[in-house]
Amino acid sequence: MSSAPLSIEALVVGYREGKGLKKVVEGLSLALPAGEIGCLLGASGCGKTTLLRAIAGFEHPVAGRISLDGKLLADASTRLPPEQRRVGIMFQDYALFPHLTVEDNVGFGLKGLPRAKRRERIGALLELVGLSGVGHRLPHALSGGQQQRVALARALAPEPSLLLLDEPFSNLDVHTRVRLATELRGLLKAAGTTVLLVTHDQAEAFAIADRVGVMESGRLLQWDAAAELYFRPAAPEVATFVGRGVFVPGEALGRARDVRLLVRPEHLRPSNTGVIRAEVIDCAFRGPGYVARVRLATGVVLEVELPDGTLPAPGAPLLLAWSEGAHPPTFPLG
Amino acid sequence: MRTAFRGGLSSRLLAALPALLTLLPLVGLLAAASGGSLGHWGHLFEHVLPRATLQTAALLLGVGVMVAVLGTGSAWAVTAYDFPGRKVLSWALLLPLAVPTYIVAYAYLDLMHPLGPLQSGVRALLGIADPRGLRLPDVRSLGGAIVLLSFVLYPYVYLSTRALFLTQAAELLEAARSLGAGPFQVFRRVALPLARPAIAVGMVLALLETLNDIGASEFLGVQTLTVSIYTTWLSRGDLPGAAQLALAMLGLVALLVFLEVHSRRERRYAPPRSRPLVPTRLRGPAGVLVMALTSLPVVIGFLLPTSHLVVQTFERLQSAGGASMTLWRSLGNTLFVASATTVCTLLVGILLVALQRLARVQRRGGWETSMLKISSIGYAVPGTVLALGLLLPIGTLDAGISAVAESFGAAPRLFVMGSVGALVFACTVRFLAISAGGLEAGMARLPPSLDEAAHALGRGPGATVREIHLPLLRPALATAALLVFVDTMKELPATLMLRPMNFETLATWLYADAARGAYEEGAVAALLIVVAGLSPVILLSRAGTDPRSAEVGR
Repeated sequence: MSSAPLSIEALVVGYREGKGLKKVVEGLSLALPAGEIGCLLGASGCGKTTLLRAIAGFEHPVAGRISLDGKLLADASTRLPPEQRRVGIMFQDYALFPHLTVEDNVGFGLKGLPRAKRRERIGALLELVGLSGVGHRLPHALSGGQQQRVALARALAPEPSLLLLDEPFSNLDVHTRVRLATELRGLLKAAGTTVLLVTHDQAEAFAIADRVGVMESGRLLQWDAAAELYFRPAAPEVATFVGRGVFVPGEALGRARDVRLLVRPEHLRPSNTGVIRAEVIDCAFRGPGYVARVRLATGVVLEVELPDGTLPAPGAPLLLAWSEGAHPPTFPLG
Repeated sequence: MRTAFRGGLSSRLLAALPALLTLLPLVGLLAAASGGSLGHWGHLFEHVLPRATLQTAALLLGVGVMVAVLGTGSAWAVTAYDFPGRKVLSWALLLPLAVPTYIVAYAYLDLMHPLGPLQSGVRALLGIADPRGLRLPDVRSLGGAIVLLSFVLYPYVYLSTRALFLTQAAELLEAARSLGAGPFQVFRRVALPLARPAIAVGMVLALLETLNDIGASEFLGVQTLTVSIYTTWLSRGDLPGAAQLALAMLGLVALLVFLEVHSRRERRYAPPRSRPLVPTRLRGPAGVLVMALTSLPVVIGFLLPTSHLVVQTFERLQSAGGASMTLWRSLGNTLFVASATTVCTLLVGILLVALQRLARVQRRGGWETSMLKISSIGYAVPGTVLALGLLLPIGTLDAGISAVAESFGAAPRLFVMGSVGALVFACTVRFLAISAGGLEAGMARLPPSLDEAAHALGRGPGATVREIHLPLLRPALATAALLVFVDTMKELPATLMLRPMNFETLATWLYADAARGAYEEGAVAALLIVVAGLSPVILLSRAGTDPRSAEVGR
């Protein structure tokens, strides 16, 4: 299987709006090594889908450049048409051709191949995605999950140098999303293709990607491994978008005056020897244990995990101490 | 590797071609009108225009009011009430659409003749022997024309308002009921104001049809603008004068189209679709009364004229021992012109819609959309006006071709006018809106991601149209083909003016019969046209609950 490194440099994509230009992607750069799975994470409207469509050739850069395997795909004056880019894309709505069978959908991108080879390749791909029995059916006869796998097989069929996935799980059941994300990662790694996907769901991103980027307002805030984003966020926006947590002024926790800390629920624990005074607001069960909302003396409200499962009454005072190895990300006051 | 302006220019030029051809008759009309002397205009202005305008205005006003009442009333009856025969009536009310205006006039002239079946029947019932002993109002009058046209044109209003009542009104009407309004109050205070844009849209379509009509007005002796244009050209041989009248008429058309566009825009703000309305059950005499009232339009607009045509056809075929060769030949001619027009409108429609789609996927398409709109204006231009506008350009073209042919030693002849080319061109211009509109609506239902998926899998624009769009548009293509085919079969005014010498279609055959006052094989021709006209009505009644069908029905 072919795969190629993707490189994006200072890319600007926008729409004309009246006389001006509304920028959706603003000077974004990233590099994705061959064979890796990258994921762009961000709220809707952050420009992630536009970036994906620009790589595929459906939107056009105003400035900057996109290249794949060292070959220029697009810059401000050049546009390689989508059909010549060797970039596969799986759409959010899958875009399966409703008048073609599953086999013909998967074989759509294999036009130049001799008949026998084509059949063989379609069979292999359907087997890869676990749909060997349904090749003769029409797309509407399949479940959402099956349609997704047909779309994936179709996008992989012409052996693209790069595969793009636009919100691949958004049409699926919440419960099956993370399981399918793990499954999909297996499939993609088996195919060996370079992959870039976008999602707004952090759990999906972490389950599937080697490298995750957080986008906001058309910019890429950080482009790193998942654990790095969680433990060492490069910007306050990344810190709030990834994982739970509340910004607390350093002073309220006995740290420096000119900083603020991102306090995640696991950073503090109730302790009789603690020095941070708080008052319990309420407690709630959240996945394997309980979490208390507490108010600090300065009025800041934050969440604290309750490891032993004893629930303090609302209004009760609580002493808090730092958990072992807790390093809350620290940013200048801003 | 190509530049940023890939494909843009050629796509724009290609899209502009049909638009230019559509505008050709208008240019021809202007050229013809400017060729006249002001002396002509003086005569027309004094003797023809005022009378024709007055008659046309009266006809439009009468038909407008009457189709609004008949269409809205019947639509409200079958959606708000449940009475015996409601199911059958809700599609049967569409049947008069199958009867062209000139055929309903043709049939009633015969039916209402002092010696015809209707008057004879009434006299027999009253025991009057002398035909002069009982005088029913003459259908050959403005009033007669208003009534007859209204009874075949009301389905346009019926379609658009019923779609609205069915899909959009239930919750609002129920809210009004719960606030203490009775059924009549609900109709007057909620349903009617809500339906006003829909009524206007249907009414404008009916009025455009009224303006287009030439046969009925002429048979019934109403000197409308259309009739005046035709006679000014035909009997007085005055092309510039006719063109000047036609320009005046286009002003009227523009006004109506403006009204339609305005109403459609207003309709967009109607409340979102909700559950269908649950009809109120009517029992006993009330139910029978509503049934009788609602059946009336079907009886007058379809059953009476059609059964008369059936009887006449049988009598004619029996007495003459079959149909004449000429009738067979006109049937063949009709089918040929209709097929040729269908093929042309579909090809041009596909071209325009595909160009628009491909441009949109490339994030442009404003130009292509404008060209599509311009190419679709033909539906509003009356056939007489369209044909008149083509006379000059085609004459010029024929003269040019003849000159070239003569220089090669061939005899001069009318190459375009002498063939059906001019007629097929005019019908294509007139009916392009049906195919382009239908295909555009069909295309809008295909998500753009299908195109993008095809591009990402290595297909260029042409292959995407061939492998994705065309197969998926097959139902829309079939519908458009049927509608264009039948509309061309029914077309009378342009056919009268642009057909080659001695070339008869069913419609012109019937027209000639009526003009001679000799009711011979015209009834057979009329019946064939009505039968053909039934197929789109069946299509419409199936799609009846779909509000889009109001557009398809045009």
